[in-house]
Amino acid sequence: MLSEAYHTLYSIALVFMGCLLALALVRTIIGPRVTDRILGVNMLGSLVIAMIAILSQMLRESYLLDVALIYTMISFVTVLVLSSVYLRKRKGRKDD
Amino acid sequence: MIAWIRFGLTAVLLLGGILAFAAAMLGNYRFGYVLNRMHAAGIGDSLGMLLVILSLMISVSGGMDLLKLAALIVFLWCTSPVNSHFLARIEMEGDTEYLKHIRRICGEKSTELPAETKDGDDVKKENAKETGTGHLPKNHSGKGKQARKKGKRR
Repeated sequence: MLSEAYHTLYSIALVFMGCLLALALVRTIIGPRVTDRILGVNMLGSLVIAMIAILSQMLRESYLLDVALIYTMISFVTVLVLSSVYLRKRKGRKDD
Repeated sequence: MIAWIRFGLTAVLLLGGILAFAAAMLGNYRFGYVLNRMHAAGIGDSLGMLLVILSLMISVSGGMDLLKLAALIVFLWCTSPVNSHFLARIEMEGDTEYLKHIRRICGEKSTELPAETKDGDDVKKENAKETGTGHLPKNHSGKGKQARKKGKRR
């Protein structure tokens, strides 16, 4: 009974988060500026981290939390690398 | 009985977290500019993640999982401000797009900003000629007189 209730709760949460994920993807695609897109990717990453954490509870698989930790680090490094590459490109254009 | 109380607490916190994520997404669509959207996205990154992971920490049984979830929230709270800082730096160092936005907020009376709205690149070039650098923060401090002149000329 209780496990069914937990399962239903997690399912509802995952469905809602999936809808939000689709909205974040749309924002990433239509974002008029580069910073909009990077922000959309960042939001997408944080939603996916929350979903993986919920999924690890739902499936009783503890190793998914390790996946979520690694995903957090990769998401952080993504934004850092994208912004540093973009700043370097801008500086090169200014020198020209 | 205690198990059901735990379930209720988990449900409330999880739904609160999803509400925070939904608020972040709503702000992401309603706001018109990147720096405002960053403000909205911060809600989801900090409050939403905190509530979701807190709810999972209540419902979890093992000790190692608890530690991993705590590490997750600590890491996210450390990295989210750095991300926001870098995004804002890209936005401010790039071009004069943000001046349009500040002008729209402050209204036409504002004289602290350059009067140009359409050709922001020209303003930047002029600044670069006069001050030697095209760096933007100088616009705010020293350009009040210039902006007023330009407004009169127009």
